[in-house]
Amino acid sequence: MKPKACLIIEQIAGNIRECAWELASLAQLEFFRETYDWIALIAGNNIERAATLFAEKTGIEVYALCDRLLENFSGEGFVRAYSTAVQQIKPYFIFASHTPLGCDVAPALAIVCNMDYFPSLQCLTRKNEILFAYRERLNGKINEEITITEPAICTIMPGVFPIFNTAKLSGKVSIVNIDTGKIKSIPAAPNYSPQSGAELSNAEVIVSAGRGVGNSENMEHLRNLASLFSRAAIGGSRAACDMGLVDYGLQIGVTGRIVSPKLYFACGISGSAQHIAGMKNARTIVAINRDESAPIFRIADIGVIDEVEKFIPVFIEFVQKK
Amino acid sequence: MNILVFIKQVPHVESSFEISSNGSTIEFSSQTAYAINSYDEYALEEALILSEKISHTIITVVTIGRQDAETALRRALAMGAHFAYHYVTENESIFSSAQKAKILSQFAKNHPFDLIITGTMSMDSAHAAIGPMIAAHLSIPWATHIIALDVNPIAKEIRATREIDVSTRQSITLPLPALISVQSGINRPRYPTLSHTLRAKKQEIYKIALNEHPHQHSQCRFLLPPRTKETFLLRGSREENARALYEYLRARSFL
Repeated sequence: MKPKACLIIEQIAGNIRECAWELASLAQLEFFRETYDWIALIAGNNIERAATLFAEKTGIEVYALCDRLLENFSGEGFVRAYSTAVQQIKPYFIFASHTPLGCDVAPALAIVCNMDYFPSLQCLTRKNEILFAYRERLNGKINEEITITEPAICTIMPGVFPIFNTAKLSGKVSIVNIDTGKIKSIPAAPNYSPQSGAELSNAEVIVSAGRGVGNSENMEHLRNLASLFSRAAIGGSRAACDMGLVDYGLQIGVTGRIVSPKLYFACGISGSAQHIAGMKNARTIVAINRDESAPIFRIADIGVIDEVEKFIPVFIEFVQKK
Repeated sequence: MNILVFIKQVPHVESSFEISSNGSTIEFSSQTAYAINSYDEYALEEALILSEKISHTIITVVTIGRQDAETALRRALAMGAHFAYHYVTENESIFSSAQKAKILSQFAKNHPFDLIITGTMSMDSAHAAIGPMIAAHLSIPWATHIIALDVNPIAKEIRATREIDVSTRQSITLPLPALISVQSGINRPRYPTLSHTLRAKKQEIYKIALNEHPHQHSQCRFLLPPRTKETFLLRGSREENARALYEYLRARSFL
């Protein structure tokens, strides 16, 4: 029998989150598929349908960890459910997503199960029987190569692995009734409220603001740039949203929207993995940034090393003269 | 109410650096500016907002860092924290999140607290691990990625709202003691006033020596990230660059 490895599958209200399908692709990496027997852990209440869907689509065996107290997400309740399963399965590896829900449970689970913790991984390879992983430091300016030793819990950056999408297979589903016992947290149901910014999905050109834009007066330059194009929209990085330059609904990246316009202007955006995951499929990427070491210049098609607020007006004037 | 806020000092995001020839260390230039990790600044501001609403609130900030991380603690005192503790180590980077979480949870076991607030992640490594790890060590409830917080000191509970994604939020009620990690943008951190800054200069910072040298069983090497594209970099004058970008976009029928 092969050693076991687990995936932590996120669901909200019985719907499997996109990042879970990416973890299924990770489990398909050749050396992982050959070395381990995979078990997907999905916790909640009334999740049988989601568990069956995941098993049928991926061929991975699913443990549905069910309890009334797991109806809504709490780190406390879910860690108790996963750790109960982990004690039984004794996996060499557990993979979770580096998302708000994944990062709420995985670090605590590492402590409870006394496993090493390797967060925020973007790539995994095996050389000479040693497992190497890569993750970024300093907002993407540096790559860190680490060796992964088992038993360990790893979190995987969303948007790095493709969404699992192969022919239908059939995995087994086991319903495991969990006795969560008493938990102190009282979680409410998630609240879904669509944000503004739907125009980003249809835009052919996106002019996106980052920390380097500096202040909201400078946003005028970005709006002027957008007005040179038809079907253009304004977006921004997480930092730009925090600075109040653009609404949170216009955030592009892992915690925001995933976009794929024909043309993407990254203005004053350094290019962290969390942002790049949201825009790397843009056909043409123009980066404007005064910091030449900004990682955005490693994925852009064309880059201008300059201050956003000084370059854009000169560019617009040039275009209008033509 | 006693609030512990755990903070980290990090280099400014645009700092210049070099990777040592064997890839084992990142060396920052001597002009590098260090500051409180911005997520931790949001954490401290949230504690300060609570202290304005709830009388007799004491805020204690704690950091693990080099001698010069004292700058971050002075800044925290100037913003309004009452006490500051500094675990001094000349090599903060060799401590893993788990090792730091153990040290900080030990601190919490020795200092009474009702609430622990941390930033969700650090700007330099973005591991987002310390908060839930500390809560697990202390067996207290926790919640991360918090964008709104309400404390009911009489019922001894908090109600926090987490951001799951751009359009999904979830509220959770936790009895105290509890731990929360705050997401960026939850508030607008204040600038210290001059009088607070002067006062903070004289305040004592309690130093705790960290003598243990953690065992590292994972090897690590730093590299520059790979290029996914051959980027056409414009290095001319502003006008030349404008023309070059225009021609580039024109050739691809965008203009």
